[in-house]
Amino acid sequence: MKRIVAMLLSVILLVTLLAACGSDQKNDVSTPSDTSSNAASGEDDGDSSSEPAGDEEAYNVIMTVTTIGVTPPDLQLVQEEINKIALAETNTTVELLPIAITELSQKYSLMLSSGEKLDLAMSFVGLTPVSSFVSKGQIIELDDLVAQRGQDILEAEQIAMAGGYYNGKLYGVPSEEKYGRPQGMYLRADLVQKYNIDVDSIKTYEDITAMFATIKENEPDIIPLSTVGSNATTFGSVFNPLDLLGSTIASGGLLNAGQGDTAVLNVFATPAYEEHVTWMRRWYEAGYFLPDAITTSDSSVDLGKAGRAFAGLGSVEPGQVSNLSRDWGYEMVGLELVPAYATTNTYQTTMWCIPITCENPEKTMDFLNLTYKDETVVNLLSNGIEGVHYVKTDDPMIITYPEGMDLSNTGYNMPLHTYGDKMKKYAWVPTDPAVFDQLKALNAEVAANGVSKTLGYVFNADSVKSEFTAVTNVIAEYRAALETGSVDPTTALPEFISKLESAGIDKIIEENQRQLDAWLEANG
Amino acid sequence: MHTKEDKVMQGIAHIVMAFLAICALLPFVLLIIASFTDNMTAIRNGYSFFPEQWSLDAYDYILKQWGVIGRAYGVTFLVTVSGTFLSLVITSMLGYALSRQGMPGRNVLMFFVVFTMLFNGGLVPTYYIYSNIFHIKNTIWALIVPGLLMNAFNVMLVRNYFRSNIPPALIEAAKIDGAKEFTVFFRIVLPLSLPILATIGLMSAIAYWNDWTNGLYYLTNEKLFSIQNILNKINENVNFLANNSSTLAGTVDTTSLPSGTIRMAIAVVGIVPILIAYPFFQRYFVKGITIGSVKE
Amino acid sequence: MTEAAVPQKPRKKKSKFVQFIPVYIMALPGLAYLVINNYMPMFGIVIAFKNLDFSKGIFGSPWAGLSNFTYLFKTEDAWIITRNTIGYNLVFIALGIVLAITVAILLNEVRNKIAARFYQSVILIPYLMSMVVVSYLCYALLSTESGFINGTLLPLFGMDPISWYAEPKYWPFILTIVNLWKSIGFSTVIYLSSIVGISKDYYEAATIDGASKWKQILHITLPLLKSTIITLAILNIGRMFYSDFGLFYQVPRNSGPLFRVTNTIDTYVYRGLMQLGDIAMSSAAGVYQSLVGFVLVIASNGIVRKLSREDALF
Repeated sequence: MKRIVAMLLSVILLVTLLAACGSDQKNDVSTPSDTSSNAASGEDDGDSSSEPAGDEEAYNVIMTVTTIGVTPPDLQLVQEEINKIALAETNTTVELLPIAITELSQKYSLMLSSGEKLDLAMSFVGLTPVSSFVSKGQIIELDDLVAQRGQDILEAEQIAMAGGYYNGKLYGVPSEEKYGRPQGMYLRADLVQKYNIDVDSIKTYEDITAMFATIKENEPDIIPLSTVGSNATTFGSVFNPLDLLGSTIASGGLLNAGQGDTAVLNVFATPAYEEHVTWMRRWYEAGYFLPDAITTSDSSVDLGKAGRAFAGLGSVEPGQVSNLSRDWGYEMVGLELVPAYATTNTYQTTMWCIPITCENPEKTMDFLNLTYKDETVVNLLSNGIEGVHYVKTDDPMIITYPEGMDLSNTGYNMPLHTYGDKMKKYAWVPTDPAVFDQLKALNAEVAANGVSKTLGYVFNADSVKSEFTAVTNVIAEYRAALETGSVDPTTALPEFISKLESAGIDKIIEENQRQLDAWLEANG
Repeated sequence: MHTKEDKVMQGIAHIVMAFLAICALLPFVLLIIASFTDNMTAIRNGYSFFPEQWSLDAYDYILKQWGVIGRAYGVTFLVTVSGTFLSLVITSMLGYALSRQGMPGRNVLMFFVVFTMLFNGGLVPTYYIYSNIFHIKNTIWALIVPGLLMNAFNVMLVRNYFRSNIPPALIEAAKIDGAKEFTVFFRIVLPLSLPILATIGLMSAIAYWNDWTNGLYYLTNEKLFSIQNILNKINENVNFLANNSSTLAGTVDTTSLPSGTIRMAIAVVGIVPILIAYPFFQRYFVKGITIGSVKE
Repeated sequence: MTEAAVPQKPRKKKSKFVQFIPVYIMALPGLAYLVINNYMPMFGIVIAFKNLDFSKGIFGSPWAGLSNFTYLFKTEDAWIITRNTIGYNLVFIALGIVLAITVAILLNEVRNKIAARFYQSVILIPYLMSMVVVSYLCYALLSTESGFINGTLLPLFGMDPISWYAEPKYWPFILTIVNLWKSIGFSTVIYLSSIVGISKDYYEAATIDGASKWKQILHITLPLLKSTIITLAILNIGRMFYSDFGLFYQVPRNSGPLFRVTNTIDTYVYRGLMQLGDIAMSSAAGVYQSLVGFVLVIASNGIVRKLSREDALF
């Protein structure tokens, strides 16, 4: 008995000691060094004056920083540098809150349901879309805030602002430097050269098939197409651009990126879809896809790096091809199949929202605006501290690692680039400096000719949630398999379509059309 | 006659157990080998017991990236030990109480306990209560208390054991001799229950060791992260990104994503230490202690 | 000894309640924990019946009646996911009990202490692996191109490679095997701890009486395990509508063609709600699963009461 009590006491003692240690550092990782902001955590008179200077306490903005699970060791240093500027320009400071991408949804719910202060929250397409925030009443409207205090935001984003709307109001601020992306394939340059492939002449399914056949014949170990993943898709951007009306394919879409007919369709029932999956099946059977494309645990980049793949599908805008070359470790060449276009979805990838637990939306918007205005802040967030994490090369917009540093030992690696005006973000070697002008030209082109008729419209699924859930499940069951040719479309496609219909897709589409027509009338 | 039967029994037992042991070990061995495989080889040929090329890169990555690993191990160890101990104490006490025959209201209490296994308020209200009412955010208690300190299942197991393996006559005899309940519990019942305590203890220890959700929900102070928080974060996130690379194209710099073999190494690093706990608990799986002469 | 001869002084009959006070005190910490950890948050169940609006809080949000539940029933898949969930659980429970007891008895018979400890530790190793890692290992076995089975095993028997992840018919077996592999160590240890606690006296007496090993198992071991078996069975029955998410989502690598046999209530809810992010709807699924489990536990407990009253839970 005494022995047990003694053990108990010693454990409790140990635990208490550790608890004392733990609570000494009750502050989050990113403890601001500025004394003014320490006091300001949450305390502000909540006034609406927009004067940056003065006797007011600085407002501390808590902003989420999305990671892939690893928090950069130098996050706090970067935060301090940002605060120097933020304090001077906008009388705010920022507290960077790292959250892993798969934890976003959960963390938001927990924080907001307990009333914890959060000022800037990132919305991530497919994981934490703006529509889900709004239907749970978690974020506030931004129309007035942006109009009054977000001049630099509007200037930087322009037509991309359309992505942030829902139910006719602005809820999110996008961070897009590319107004549209041309879609196509990227190919291994060395193999293209070796087999004298004329990249510019490749336009149709037949052309691509011929190209793959050449590769397959001569390089038996190489998989021509690197598309993999249980959620893989090949239809909807590269071959046939779709306008998904701000939602997912479960609520239907428009062909031709919304630049043509505005009748909402069940995409999977269209002849174009049938043609596409028939081709995909031929490719799969010819060995152009990895046999376990939808179940492998390797990513498309893994395959590329291992020298197992020839080509990949994706966007091929200026600068992207050099990114891909860096990822694959082989020189790549781009092949454009679809010119750049813009739909509401294009601008929904990542957006900044202000949750309801923000205590001073005005000052928060000031800070957010700063990230679009100030080149140094943009680069602090995306690339780190100049001289410490990167150094400039001869071209002022191109940077590289300082001597002795690389990806494995840098103190600040931020894989997700989602901050501010990305046009001001420096690009890493070996990006071609001409990229920036090329992008500006591309943007102008898209804005003039490539915009969908429905830009700014987002489908609201609240009245058809049951059908939406059911349809989403059916799509999860068939889409990836069909679009990688992993199943035989002659049996699977009719099955798929009939299941969609019994899941209620027609009801969703009807509702979508109704909302769209009303929007087109109001915004015609 | 009995020796032959004995031998047959021994033979069967060994064959079956050896087979099961191989089934259990082989995948684990594969896991370890995979973590020492060169990543490019793994992508080209898949994981195999005899990889073409070995490599320490995966472990190199782990060591380089996370100097915090040592600290995380310490936290996890402390949490596991203290949590398991506390858990054993309150679980066994409650199990004992529920096993005592003749206790008024026992059925009500049983229902009270079992009901918690069936209905759950959900994460949001649980979080609210622990954060806003008990303020355990960013304290060590966040890793010990929520969900893991005791669960009805373990209580049922303990109760069951007491009822099946401790003759009520024994307890009665002790009480007649003037022993108080606490004495009966600590001096008689517990020493006879080492097997079940070892079982519950082991299960509890594993649960604490493997838990990463408490850290996810209640901690932002990285100094308090358990080893699984750090390791699992990477695995789950990379798995997600690999599956959804088309949606995220353009926003993710994929050169920095850990590869497959690194994920294997992460798994090994998370599992191996807890294996050390096994022999510790096994000592208590002592066969049939003679209870002494208690005639019905 | 000598005291036994002295008659007990007649005592005033203490109220049973007072007599058991020390026992209640012992129960207190555990019960208090359950109140904090389980009962206090139970108000969250109402979320399933509301249109959750964070700006109004849980209690201020408008009522939604049963509308959050409809998505679970209004679909063709409803039958499939329910059938799968229940089907697998029945198999898992039945096989699990039989195999775990068998292994526990065999393990108990092993004389060599070192071997016994070795076996006992090793069969628990699978329990430690997360399902994500298990899915990678399965992929190493079942991959069409580079998997061990297609690459090494089948050619040995002169058979053609099989596209495992595209053929639903194999997966009920695969998933059952994986589940057993992972959980057998755990269940075995539970039964083993009970078996180990059985007094040697019983077996010695039986051996003296000439009973064979098999008879001993049948008449001593199993009956003494009855209580444990029943308890575990009832508790498992309460989980009838739940499934191991990792097992049914990760191990089949989220492969669409297999959904017919791998989609369970939990995976359906997860996949379906990813875009909507609707907390109330997923909460409704939880309430639905709990309710069914509750009814099943009451029912099975009732049956046990009729048959063998002392083994019932309550």
